[in-house]
Amino acid sequence: MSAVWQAVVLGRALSDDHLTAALDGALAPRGRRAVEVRTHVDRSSAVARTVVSWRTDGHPADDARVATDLDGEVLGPAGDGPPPPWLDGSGGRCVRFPGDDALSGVHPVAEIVAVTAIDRVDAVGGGLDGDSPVDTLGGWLRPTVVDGQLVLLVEPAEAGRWRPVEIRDPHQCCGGAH
Amino acid sequence: MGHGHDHPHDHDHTEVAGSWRDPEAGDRLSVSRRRFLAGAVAAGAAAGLGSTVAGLGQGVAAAAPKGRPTPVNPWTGTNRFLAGDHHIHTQFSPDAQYEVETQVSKAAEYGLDWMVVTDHGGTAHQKYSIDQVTPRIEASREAHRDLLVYQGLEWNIPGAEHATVFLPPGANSVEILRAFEAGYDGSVLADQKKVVRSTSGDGEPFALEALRYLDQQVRGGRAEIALMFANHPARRGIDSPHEIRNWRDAAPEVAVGMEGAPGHQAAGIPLDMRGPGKARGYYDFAPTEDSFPGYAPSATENPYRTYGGFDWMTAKVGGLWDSLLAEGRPWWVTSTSDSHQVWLDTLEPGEQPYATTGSRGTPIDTGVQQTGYGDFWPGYYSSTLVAAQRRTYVSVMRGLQAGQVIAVHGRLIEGMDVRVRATRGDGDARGVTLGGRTHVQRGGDVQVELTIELAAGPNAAGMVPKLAKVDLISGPVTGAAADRDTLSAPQTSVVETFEVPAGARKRVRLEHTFRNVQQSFYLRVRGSDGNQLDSAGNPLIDVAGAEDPFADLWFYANPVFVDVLG
Ligand SMILES: [Zn+2]
Ligand SMILES: [Zn+2]
Repeated sequence: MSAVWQAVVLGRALSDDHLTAALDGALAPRGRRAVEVRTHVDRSSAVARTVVSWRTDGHPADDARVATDLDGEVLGPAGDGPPPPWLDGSGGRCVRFPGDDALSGVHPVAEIVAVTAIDRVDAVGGGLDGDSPVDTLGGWLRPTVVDGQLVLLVEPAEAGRWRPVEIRDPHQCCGGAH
Repeated sequence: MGHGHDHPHDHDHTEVAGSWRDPEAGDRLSVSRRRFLAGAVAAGAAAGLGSTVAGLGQGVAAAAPKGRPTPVNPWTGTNRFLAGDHHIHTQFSPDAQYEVETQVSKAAEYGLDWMVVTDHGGTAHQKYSIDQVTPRIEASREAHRDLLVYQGLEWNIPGAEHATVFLPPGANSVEILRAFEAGYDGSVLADQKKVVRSTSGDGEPFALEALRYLDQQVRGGRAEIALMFANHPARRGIDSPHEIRNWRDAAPEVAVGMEGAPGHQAAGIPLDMRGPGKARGYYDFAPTEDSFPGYAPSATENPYRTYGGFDWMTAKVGGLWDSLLAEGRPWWVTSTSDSHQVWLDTLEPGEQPYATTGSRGTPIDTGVQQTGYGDFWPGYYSSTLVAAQRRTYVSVMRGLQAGQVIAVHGRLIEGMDVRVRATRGDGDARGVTLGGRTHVQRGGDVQVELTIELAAGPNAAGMVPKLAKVDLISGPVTGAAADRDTLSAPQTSVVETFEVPAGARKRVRLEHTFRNVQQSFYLRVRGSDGNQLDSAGNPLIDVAGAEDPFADLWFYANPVFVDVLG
């Protein structure tokens, strides 16, 4: 795995599925695949922008080309100097991470921590232990980076289970038009 | 515009109590006369007080002779509550389906006195829907003379969530709504590339311009009154605290509050109860790029969820709503249905293309009860009770503007008489009611008297709800927040919890006295059926697919402010 994170500011809003598909499409011709993908919101100007960061399974690819395909602008490479805070500190959101395809059903907290890169599972309101069952809702997990750790935040769900706070298909009002 | 809505038809309708046709609305002469009188009073008050006066009925005390403030919303003991709903969709929304007349007759069937039609703003709506919905609303007014049917808009607030905007019927009302939507709807602005997204931060100045525009329509005598309530404010975390403060301050007589409880209250009904099995209120979002970072979910709380059916901003003691009230400024809460598609109804949307016609067309009967729909009919579950002096369009809006409002679920209560007054020491001995402002001499006592009318019959689920407990909540008024993104009021707390006796019938009287008052403060009241409480008596976070809304009932009343003099 490349140690080098690359980053692009997105020029338009993309769903995670579109984002990873576009990234894979841009990297594949170079024989690369993004093994980790994260997003982060840049709120430094009036209009917030989403930044996508990734690292590949080989040498970094030409990120200007990737930026073009994603309709974004190149922010990285981030390999020199200290890593930006959304990678190493707090605020990043993990779209693709090691072990993310290992789970798809209801799994105890301990198993989630054991088989994925997730370091910790926290619950809204607390009350979680290693045996607590988490419904991964089809394995769609979006842990966030908190003090350098990957933390999955869950909340109470039906039947004494827990489920991730961020889910794949929240209700879209107005057909998602706004 | 045709003859039908150019002039008020005073000649046939003026004397009819409960007529849709409000004799004072749209009467230019009476508007300007009242405006003149109001202006004269406000100007005199400002001079006496030496500070800005936002207006009458706004919870801001005006000065009386001898330098003592005039109480706002003086208690009369004669208030009658009118139940209503300011957030209802029809086939003229791209994601809804019903005829206007269907929603109006359901509102009447479930006991509402007033309702607002609020289809989503947007380019197609502005272009095609307004002219279709207007005559239908007028026809429904004629068919339901005892129900006030307002025409409104669910405005995409630029840079933020949705909001109800509405006016009383009047010669200019439809044209004001049309111009407002064309100029200031976030979705329209995004289509015109004037903002990056409907919800992106570059829209914030447009939102303030929009509210000032409405305010100017009133000040210029083109409308008697115009109101805005922020809808489902915490649902996507995009109504930041500073935006809410900015709306309020840009037009305090227009931007007066928010949904304390959102609609879609059937969405959390479990699958095994033939419900949609989703999050109550469809509050199932997580932060996105336009969300305010201070609302990030944590191990402590999730602002993106409802608590006991109410929005987190309202449900949290010492939370965002209290942080606004602690500034000593009015900001009211309501409860609505947001009715788009009603749980277990058999209709589905018509087949008309919305984008090119502004309508879904006539709904189609599938003959099959739709378990995936998450809404209730207007009046079925959510009520906004307003104490209005008369059953007229303007009077109900004045009650809303003045905060004489209680947000209620499932007919938990019928109404509540609130009287707050100085009982020891020099002060306002008559006292004030909901949304009001009274005063007491430093060191005096302030007495709160509550007379709660209990449910007089079964609610729409067929049960007579039992009020189990009432919380009196209070906090000091600490002045304008230095940080406009302040979202907590740590000194606000529950000061007394009253258990309601199980055998209580008709009404309960509760009393609390604040003794030796040294600091200006506010108080508010909430109540619950007691079914779902945490150890501190607060509402529980709602769990997706596990919420029978009739088994978790609350009401929230709006605050009273008490100023300490001397
Ligand atoms: Zn809405
Ligand atoms: Zn709505």
